[in-house]
Amino acid sequence: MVMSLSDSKRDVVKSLISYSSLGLEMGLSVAIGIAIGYFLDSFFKTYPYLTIIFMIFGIVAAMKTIYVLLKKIAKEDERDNSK
Amino acid sequence: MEHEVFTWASLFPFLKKLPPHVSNAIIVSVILLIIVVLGYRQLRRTEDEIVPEPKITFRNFVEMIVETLSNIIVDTMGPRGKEFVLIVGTLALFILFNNLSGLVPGFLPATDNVNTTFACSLTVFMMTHYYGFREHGIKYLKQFVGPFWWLAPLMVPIELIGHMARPLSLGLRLFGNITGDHLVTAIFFGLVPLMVPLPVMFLGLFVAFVQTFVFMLLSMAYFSGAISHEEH
Repeated sequence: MVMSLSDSKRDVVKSLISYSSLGLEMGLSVAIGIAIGYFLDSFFKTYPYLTIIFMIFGIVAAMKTIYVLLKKIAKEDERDNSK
Repeated sequence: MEHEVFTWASLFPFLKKLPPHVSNAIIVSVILLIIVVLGYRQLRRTEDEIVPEPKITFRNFVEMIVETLSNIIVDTMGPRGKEFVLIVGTLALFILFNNLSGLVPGFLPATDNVNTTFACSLTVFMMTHYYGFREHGIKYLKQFVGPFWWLAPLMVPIELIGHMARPLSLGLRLFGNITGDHLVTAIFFGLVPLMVPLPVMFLGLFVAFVQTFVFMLLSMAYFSGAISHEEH
């Protein structure tokens, strides 16, 4: 009983950590996208088109991070239910 | 009149001229090295003894650390986690001891400098792709292309940005937490040196362990993502 309690607690801590890392990663994805776009723009002198395009890439990358995490959660739920 | 701030690094002639995060990282590494060498020598001496000693000795302590680390890693990554005990454990011990050194007077924790944390997170980044290539060969690049080949020009920049955000967030999180904690403790010490910084220091102890655990857990997640065989 004690063992299972500590196990479930550890699972909670683990999921807390992996979800809390999501926010920073999402923000940084957009920031990196804008940075790459801005750098390419100043290289090719095409401001603002590449900045906007790479910002959209960054936003999609942030969404993909959520999507991957959601898929992982769904898979873990499935595995827990089949136990 | 400002007197010079005392640091342990100023006692050593070689370390005096180095920036504080480098000298403190060196001191912490040397301490870790001494612990490891002492533990290893005791392990060699008592290799035939299967029965554990009744009292808690230095050897038990070192064994406990290694066993806890490898248990966490194998629990999280599954049976293949054994391959990653070395790198994840090394990073975890280095980061943990550096974080904890911030609580000792005279030490500036090396992890409150961006250079140290990004060194750690870039190591994880490089090793992720190294393990990926070792596991899948050149097919590892398929993970970046996405489900259909005609989506590749769209998916490759997205994946690249996503992969670049990982080491940045790893390093930034560790740096931010440790710097913030260290600053708060320093400010409270400046205001009221008696008793008041104690809860903050206790919080610092907590932050040191939690951030180490976060770093371990996230780098393990990245490693297992690189060696997984499923489609994205």
